[in-house]
Amino acid sequence: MKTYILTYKTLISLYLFLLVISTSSCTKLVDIDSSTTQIDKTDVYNDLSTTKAALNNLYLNLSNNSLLNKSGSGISFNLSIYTDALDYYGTNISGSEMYLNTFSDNNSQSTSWWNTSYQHLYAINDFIQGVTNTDAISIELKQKMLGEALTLRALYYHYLAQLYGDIPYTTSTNYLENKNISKTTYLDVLTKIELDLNQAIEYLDYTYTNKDKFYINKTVPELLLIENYILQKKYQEAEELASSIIDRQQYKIEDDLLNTFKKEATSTIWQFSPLFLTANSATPEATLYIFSNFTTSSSVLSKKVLSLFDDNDKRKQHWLNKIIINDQTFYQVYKYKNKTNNLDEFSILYRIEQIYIDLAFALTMQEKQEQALTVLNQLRQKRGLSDLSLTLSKQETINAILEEDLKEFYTENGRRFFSLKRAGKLNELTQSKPNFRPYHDLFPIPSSQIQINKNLLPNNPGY
Amino acid sequence: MKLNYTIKIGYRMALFLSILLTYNTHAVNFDANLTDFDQNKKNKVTGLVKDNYGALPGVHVIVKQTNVATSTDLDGKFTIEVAKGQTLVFSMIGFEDKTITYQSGNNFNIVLNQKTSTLDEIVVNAGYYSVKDRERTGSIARVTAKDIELQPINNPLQALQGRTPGVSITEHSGVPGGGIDIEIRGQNFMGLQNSGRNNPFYIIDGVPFLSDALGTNNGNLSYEILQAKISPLNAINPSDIESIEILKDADATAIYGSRGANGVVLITTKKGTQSKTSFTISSTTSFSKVPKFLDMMNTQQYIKMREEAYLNANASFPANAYDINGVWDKNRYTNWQKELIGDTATAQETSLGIRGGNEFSNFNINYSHSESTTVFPTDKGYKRNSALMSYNYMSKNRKLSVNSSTLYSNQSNNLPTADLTKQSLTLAPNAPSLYDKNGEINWQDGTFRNPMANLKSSYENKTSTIILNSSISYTLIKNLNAKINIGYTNNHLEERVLIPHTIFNPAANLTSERSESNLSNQKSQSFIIEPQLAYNLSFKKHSLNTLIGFSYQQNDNESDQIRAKNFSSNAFIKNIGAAKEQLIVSTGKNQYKYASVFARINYMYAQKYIVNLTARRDGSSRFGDDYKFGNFGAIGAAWIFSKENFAKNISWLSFGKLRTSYGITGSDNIGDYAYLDTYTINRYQYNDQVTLSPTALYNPKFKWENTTKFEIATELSFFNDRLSSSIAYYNNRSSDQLIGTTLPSTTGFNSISGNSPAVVENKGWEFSIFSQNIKTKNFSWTTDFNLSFPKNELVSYPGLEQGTESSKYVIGKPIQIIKMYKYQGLDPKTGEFTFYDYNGDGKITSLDKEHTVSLAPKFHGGLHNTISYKNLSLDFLFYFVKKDNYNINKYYNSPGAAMLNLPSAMNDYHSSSNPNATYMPAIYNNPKNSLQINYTESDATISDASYIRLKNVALSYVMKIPKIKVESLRLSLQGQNLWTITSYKGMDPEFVSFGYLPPLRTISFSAQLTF
Repeated sequence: MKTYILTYKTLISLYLFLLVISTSSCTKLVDIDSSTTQIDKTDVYNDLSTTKAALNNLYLNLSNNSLLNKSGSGISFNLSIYTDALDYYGTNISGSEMYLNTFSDNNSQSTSWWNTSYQHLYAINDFIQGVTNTDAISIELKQKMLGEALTLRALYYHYLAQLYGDIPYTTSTNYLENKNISKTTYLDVLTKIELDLNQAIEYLDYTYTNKDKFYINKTVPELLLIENYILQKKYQEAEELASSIIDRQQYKIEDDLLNTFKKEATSTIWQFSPLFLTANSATPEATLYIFSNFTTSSSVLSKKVLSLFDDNDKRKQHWLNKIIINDQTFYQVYKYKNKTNNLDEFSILYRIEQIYIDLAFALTMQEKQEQALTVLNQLRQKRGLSDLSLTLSKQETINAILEEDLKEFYTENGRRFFSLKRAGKLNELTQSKPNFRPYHDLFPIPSSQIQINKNLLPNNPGY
Repeated sequence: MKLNYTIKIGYRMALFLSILLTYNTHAVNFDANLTDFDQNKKNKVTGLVKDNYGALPGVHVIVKQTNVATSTDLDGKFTIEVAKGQTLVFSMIGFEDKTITYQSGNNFNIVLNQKTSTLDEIVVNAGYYSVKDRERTGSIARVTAKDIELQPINNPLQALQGRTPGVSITEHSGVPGGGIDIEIRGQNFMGLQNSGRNNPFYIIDGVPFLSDALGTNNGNLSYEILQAKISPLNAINPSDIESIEILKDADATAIYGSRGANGVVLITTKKGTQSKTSFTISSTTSFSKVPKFLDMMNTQQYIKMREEAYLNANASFPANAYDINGVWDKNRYTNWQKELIGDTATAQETSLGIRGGNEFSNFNINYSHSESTTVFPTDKGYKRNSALMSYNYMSKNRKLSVNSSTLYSNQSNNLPTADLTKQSLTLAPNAPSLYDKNGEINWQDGTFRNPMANLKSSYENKTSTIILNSSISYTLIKNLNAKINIGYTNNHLEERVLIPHTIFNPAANLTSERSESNLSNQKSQSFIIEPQLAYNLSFKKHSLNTLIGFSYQQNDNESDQIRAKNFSSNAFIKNIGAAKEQLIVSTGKNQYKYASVFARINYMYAQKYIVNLTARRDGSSRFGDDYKFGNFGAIGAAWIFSKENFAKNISWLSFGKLRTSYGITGSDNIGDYAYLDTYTINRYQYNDQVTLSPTALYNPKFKWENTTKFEIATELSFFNDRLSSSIAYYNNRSSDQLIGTTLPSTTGFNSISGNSPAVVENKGWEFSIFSQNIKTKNFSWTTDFNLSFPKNELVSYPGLEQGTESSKYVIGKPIQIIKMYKYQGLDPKTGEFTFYDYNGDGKITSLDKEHTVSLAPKFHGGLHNTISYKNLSLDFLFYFVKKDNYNINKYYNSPGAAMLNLPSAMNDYHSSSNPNATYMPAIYNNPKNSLQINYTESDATISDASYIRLKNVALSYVMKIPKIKVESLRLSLQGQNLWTITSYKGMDPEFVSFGYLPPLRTISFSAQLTF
């Protein structure tokens, strides 16, 4: 009998056990440890070091996978083969489409420029909101960080507007607003960029956060503002700002061209940190342009550009490398030289030479050819070239500036395309690019994006 | 807080266990008392138990009144003490019980009769409970050891192909140790097909096992060889499996609540048996080859096409066109498929097992080792060691039983970093020879990217898997059973990609400074505890089975990935620490917890009317605070009408059942931590500082996905069970889909997580027939046939038209559709592809991608025959599927455009002499390239990929040699994928992605000796 009583006791305990488990603290049963790779958003902006990490991410985005990245997927390379700067010997489909000017509205490269830009803009806008609203950071530091973020926002829109024309412009992170967003006209976007840049100039100063110039200082928004003024045809403002940067003498054109792309170069305004600072990895440029045999993404300087170089041009001697493949001679881009064990090169985004070209262009557009040519000759002298006559006509001056621009900046930030475009001379490309058409001044909005936001219609003409 | 809670759980577990243990001791005392009471009147009796064929070992003999029990020995003999008037019961599975009341005498001869219809006795595993097959209310398909053992396969899932209605299996690759896709009754959930959202829930001996493919999202090191999808079930040796049950409908799956939506696969390993101890040694040798090569262009055709391409472009041969500019021999020809994927892969498997015991205590131990090579020109390959150890104990009074099983395996795979199939299908036919005169890799002066060079690099993985299970059950009082099930699994996948500098041309003078080593680790651990209480009652015609249980599971996952470069010597390449540059690409840790209560009530009246109710309340850590819990449940009912009076007179009908079920199951397949608003630490740094990026658009308000399932089915048997059949109709609807809604990138992301309003329906018919065509003493022939017609449809999707998904889905069509251009043929005049202009704007843009094509299977099934004559048996299985898939046009570019060979079908390109061609003219730098791109996104890339395949043939011969104590010797010859009938023009119609090795044709010999 004893055992039976025990049984019922047991039974009751068991049922109680199940009851306890099923009713109390059920939610706690499924409480989990936090992930080691994620941090709550509110915590990020309540601490200076995590806020800095969020800012570093904006720089990482830009240098690593934005349209300004220096590898085979960025505009530096692609606009070089799209225009007449490089000849393409690779076999990648997207590269061939770019080189032959045959791509459609689903070109993978162009789609990725568009998508990553807006993804990065979200991170920038979220950062601006987070920093604006936090109490954990001092006012000075807040302004400095906001100045950098505003410059980055302006920079993305600056390139998007030039590539795609009318584009969606947003400073919000609300997806309900952004998912059906309409296009803002090209000119309105330029105005908004100008506002951001002026705000950034107010917040920033000319010193650098670190000696390697990995972070934006006040010169960067000024440089972008010069370009913005030129696009808005505000040539006088552009001229004044450009002159002020040169006169300030913070940056100097290197006399020895072997130093221009070294990390200590005095001409550098802003350069990217490599993904792993201590790994001594080659720059993306060295990886992309230096090769001994053709691979899937090989390109060499185009014959046309080569013909423009004077034999005395130090750039031909120092920034190009002659190679022979199957008894044919090619010149490969050799601005960055360390294919392995890279101790002294970082990818440079902006350098002072650009201000000289922009200044010369702004002057010319105000019919001040003589002043423009004087500025241009300063650059030519540094490159071992003789002075041009100061009496060239406006058209001749523009052509001279464009040629110097090309010889100086091939494979840098797609300048060939943008400089021809702002000078209204893209049609000249038809001479060397048989498939080039006037509508190729704009890239198509990716079809995959138009399909999911009909407010992006119509696409740019021609696509 | 957290610690506190762990203690609480621990305390509860301890409490529960102590209850069981204390009770146990008392129970034993209780038996002892009774035994003492009757002792003085006992007689010792002996006897022999036989059936019609001879002595029966392992028959359970019990004195009913006392619970004194024993079992017969190897010769069928037993000894037991019994008193006058007490009842002796003899029982054994598969035989009818025999009861005698003891009067006098001390020697008995007992004959047991085999049960007449074994179909009545088949019990199927339904997970938390078992049910007689004929009394089940749910839809459960079953494959048993006898079918699994006949196939030379590596992964248990392969055994299901063609044998189970409603289950669709596709092999990812013919490389051993790869991935397998399984889909039970179609795709319930939207999202990428390879996302794992439609994976079923696997349970091995009561312990949940990994559902998602391994090697994904942690560097994807095996992407080019195994598509970064390694089936976790490779860890299990198919010959260790006793049965695989597939739970399909609501009645069967709702007790698994939120994991039941995609079906549940229960794997039961082999247990010990009631028999004398026997040893089994077996050995199998297999040979596999690629069954069919794709017909490629020969050198003459290829060179003609390439030269024409430059001629048409008015271009001279450029410096890098080595195939035609004279650098390579224009007359050379190599069949690259033969060179690169033409080897015979061999596999060798040996195993040693021992099993035995009696009804109360038995064990099974099996150890096996297998090794296989690949069809690539390398001798590396796949190895698996596996061990299964199971032990079962039952107390003599049959109240306490303990079952435990341990499954351990380690696998290693050593493969090329990339599947050579793609190269074998694209390499120019006049490319230079692989090796030069000295037997060194031939670089042809740097013009040839020699595929052999890549073989110097390698992909290696090691997987170790442990699955532990123990369950203790105790009969508290009559009909009330308590059980606790505890399980633990541990899986560790280590992957390496080693790239020594020797893969590059030695002319480049590189050193081991350029060598690279990648290491990725994925560890997962899971612990589960499930206390349960079952109460069964029957009186008169009523029978009630109830079950209540609790389940708590914790998963911990850890992963990391390290990349190292610059070694002082390649000898150190596996030692990350020896590298001069080491980069930790990622490290991560996450946790998942899951707690539930479940219950089942099953009521049967007069063995005719059955109602089965199941319910489960689940809590998951994957949801925000207000959404953590979900309720699921089902009702099932069956009517065995053959037991009704009206049917008893129908002599040809031996069994008839009508069953139906309806219920809700769910899924929480959205990933851990998704409901939080967070920033993620990136793998890359900037200025050597940590970077943090926004993880995703924030949406904390998502809840469980639901699948409502309905099924109605009938099961009929005729002519004394000679012919049986089942017909089932099901209709499943999945809603609240946890899918990222696609967003334009202007929102900052591609999608936002949340419950989509879309409703997806999977419905279909499943037929199966089993027929015992001939059964005589020496000859028998059985046929199994099954056929499934799955149909998938997007039933509704409010907001689809305005929303972002309209480019992917169409209401009323399957979710597997693709929107494409409609190809309208090649214009003979211009040689240009033409497409249908849907919006009539005079040009072809992405807005004209309005033609929809579905890649969902239309029907699939299997036909299985077993013919045996005396000791010889022949078993063969045909598998067939009707579906469309991508063809070669998807993967090859314009003729002649690049230095890539093309299938010979593409010889039919346009030229002035061939205006009615299939393909555009051969041209380099094609100005009409956009048409070629449209073509690859048009319905011209889709064709019928249906096939009938002789999936499996097995011929075996069994000998019994009692003289030398050989219980059985089985010799068999098996074949896999022997013969295929298809109109598909590619390499093989069974594939998931192009350019990977198709399933191989395998022939194997095996011998199994039991003594």
